[in-house]
Amino acid sequence: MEGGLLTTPEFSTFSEKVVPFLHVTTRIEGRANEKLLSEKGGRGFPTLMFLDAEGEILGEPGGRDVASFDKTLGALTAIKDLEKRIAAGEKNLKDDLFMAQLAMGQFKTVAEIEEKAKSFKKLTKEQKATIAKAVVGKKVEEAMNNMERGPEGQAKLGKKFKAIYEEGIFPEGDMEGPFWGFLMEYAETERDAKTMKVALDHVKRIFGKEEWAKGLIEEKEASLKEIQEGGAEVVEEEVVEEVVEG
Amino acid sequence: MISLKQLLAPAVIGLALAAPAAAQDQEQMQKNLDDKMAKEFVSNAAWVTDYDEARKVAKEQGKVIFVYFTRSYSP
Repeated sequence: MEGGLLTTPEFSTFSEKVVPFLHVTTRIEGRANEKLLSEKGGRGFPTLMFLDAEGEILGEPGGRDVASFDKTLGALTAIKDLEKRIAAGEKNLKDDLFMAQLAMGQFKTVAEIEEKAKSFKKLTKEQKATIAKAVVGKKVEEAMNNMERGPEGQAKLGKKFKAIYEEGIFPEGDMEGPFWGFLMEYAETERDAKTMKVALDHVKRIFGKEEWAKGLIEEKEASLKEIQEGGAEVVEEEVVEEVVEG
Repeated sequence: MISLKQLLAPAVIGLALAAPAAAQDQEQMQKNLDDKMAKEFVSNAAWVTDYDEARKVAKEQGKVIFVYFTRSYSP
């Protein structure tokens, strides 16, 4: 990023349309706003984010290239424009605004999305699907953030993801990898070959090109094969009852 | 059992951040920051490096803030 994208003339041009803010986590004691990344919910380096003048998160770019930055900036500008028109009294724009905000992930909780959705009486099938997708994405994110440590926590998370999976709507974006990853682990523990295969296929699609994932994928493929060949269910040992003669 | 740590590597890295370095390392941390700020990419845009300043400029110019979060404490 620093050796490539951020040094390009395209990025330089893009940077003039925004306030480019460079935040460095330094581990220097007493430095102001040292923990800003974690305060903003960032999970690693590098993280890119759009904020408003109050410091509220507006969204994250969909990809790491200038075209994606421009696209996200365009969507944010459209939201701002809708807000202005609504404030000026223009009617019938509220559901457009809601959909645009959902697409940008501008809601913090599942409850917030559901509450807001209730205020719309007539939504199209497409709009309902957009809401359902956003709710699932948030559910996965909330489950991840509240995950308890250790194998038990992981099993609980897997169980939640299995329930989401069975409803047939899956998360997109950031939460996609963790969702399929944990579901794969859970299905493996449960020796549920069918679900494990689906989850593993998604893991391969998302991480297949990453060097670090190759060993993991190979191992999971072998494990899946073993489960498929061994039968989907763990065969319980027969209990031979002793007849006590009296 | 394979840990999901690997799978979630990008998600996990962030959890370890922001722990201040030991006192004797402070000088090194300052040097690392100086090295970071001397990199070529820094001069390719009019980067603001102070959070309050970024919000102030955004308000004045009616623009949104684009943050690039990076680190200097390790490469």
